[in-house]
Amino acid sequence: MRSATSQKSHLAPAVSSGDLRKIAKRNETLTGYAFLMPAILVLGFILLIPFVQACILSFYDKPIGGEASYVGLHNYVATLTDPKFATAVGNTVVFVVFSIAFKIVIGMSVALALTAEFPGRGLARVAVLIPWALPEISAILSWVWMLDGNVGALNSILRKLGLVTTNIYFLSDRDWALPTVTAINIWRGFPFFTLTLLAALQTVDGKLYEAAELDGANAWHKFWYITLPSIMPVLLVTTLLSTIWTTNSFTTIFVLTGGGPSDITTTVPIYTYDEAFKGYGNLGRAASVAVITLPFIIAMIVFLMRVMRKREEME
Amino acid sequence: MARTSQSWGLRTLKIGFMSLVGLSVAFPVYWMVITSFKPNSEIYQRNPTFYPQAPTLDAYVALMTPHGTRAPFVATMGNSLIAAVGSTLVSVIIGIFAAYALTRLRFRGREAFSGLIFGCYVFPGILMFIPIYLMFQWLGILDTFFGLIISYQIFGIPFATWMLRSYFATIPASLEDSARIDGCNRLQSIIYVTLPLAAPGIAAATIFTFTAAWNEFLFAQVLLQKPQYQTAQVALYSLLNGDSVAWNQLMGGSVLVSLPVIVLFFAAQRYIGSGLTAGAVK
Repeated sequence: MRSATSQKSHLAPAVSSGDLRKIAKRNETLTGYAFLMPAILVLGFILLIPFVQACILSFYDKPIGGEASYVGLHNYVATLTDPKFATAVGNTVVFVVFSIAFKIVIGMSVALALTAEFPGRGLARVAVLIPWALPEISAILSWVWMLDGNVGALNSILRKLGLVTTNIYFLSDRDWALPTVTAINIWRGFPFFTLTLLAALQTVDGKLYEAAELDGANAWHKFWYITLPSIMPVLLVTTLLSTIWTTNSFTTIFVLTGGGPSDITTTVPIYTYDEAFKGYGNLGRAASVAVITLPFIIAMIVFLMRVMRKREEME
Repeated sequence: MARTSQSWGLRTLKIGFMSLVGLSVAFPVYWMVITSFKPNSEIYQRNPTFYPQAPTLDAYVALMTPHGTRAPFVATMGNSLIAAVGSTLVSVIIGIFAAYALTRLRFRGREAFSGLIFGCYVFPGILMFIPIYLMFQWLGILDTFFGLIISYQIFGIPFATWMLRSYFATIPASLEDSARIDGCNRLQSIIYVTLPLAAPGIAAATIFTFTAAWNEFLFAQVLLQKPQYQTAQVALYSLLNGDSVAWNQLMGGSVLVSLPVIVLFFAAQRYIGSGLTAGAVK
């Protein structure tokens, strides 16, 4: 404001153009904050307060219906020394690594196949998104039913094809449960990769392929030296997004196995839910799990935002 | 891209792979639908029939009839609708203003706010379900649609804002400037110029926010515990954990829950590439 008044003395008119610009600018700033205010307020209420509360809660013993009592670092010690937590972390790593690897490979293969011209391509491009578009609960229930160990369709099909003689209990067999849960997560998640990679593939300059063909490149060369580098930024962003969401995916496993049999499919989100609502039901313990998870999630988000900012600068 | 030099083996592999993918996509949907039309007697055979021998609407009739004191399943779909419509309205209206500020107005901290909204969009809100549960208990808004609608803003607002932001960016600001030269104030120029032009983007944001809210499970499971408030998603899950699982009803319920989403999805599919993945693909 001081510079505005000093400017005024130099210029004859009562309101200078500089003043007007400043008023307009201040107006714009105020409007900007005013327009953002509802979003910030609601998100602050629903995200920031709980965030702080989770941190505080993690130092308390708090049964669902009961009073909270301060226990210091006890929840953290209990969580970090709980063999079930170690199992959950291990399961989460296996679940996420295999899910993401297969989502990338299958998502990309399908995207590449759908760039080729063939009749019905438009329909195929939409239809392939169905696993991802269906409500999670409906899609998963359909799998629970198909994978049923006694009367499930899949067992019947496998028997008819002569691939098995005795039924497989996909969701309750110790050897099958985790691979099955992972496979269904891949089934639900690969279309997201197909979707983003299809869009990215359309931006690849066709002339590059023509030039490469003149130089005698084969299909693999073209993929490795042209396609992959061109879609790399999108692939990286999609992979990061999917990693964050897969790490925290809850409903799929919760409905399929609930974490069983004997914790073989318990991932960190399932473990958190169990700590909060099963048995003794200690919300403080569950909060400590969330707080332990947070730095990893936030690190991934920050890394993702860096990657995206870099891309925006490049464009 | 199709090349004559492609080997026969590779093409067979490709076709085989795509057939398998196609089958994995179509079969669960097919199985869901035909199971819902099977009578009870046909469901529990060791070798299931691959199309219903005696198609019946029994399952759907059961889903529409109350069980004792329990409301019929279709009533829980009403609850889902209230939660999804309510939260979508809040998300989209708040999102329009936020997205407008982030694309049209220049002010200090704009980039930081953009980053914040994106961070919230990516942030897995389920990490917060315990403190939200406690906060709602303390505020006395557990078992209310109001509470559930507020909790859905954790993904609704960032999602709507982020989608709308990318759409607003495609509308030239000069149009609004000329309206303002003609004497419109900021709000008028938004209402008469920007919003009509952004209508397709707003429609897409509405559809996808609605879908996300409609499909939500964990918050609905935790925050609404009284049966009369159960959403359809939670009701389906409790059907699964009932004493005897009536799979034709469960699949019928799954079909009913999927229908609105699939209809909206096909209606909005041309925006999917541009809008939903705007964050990832730009």
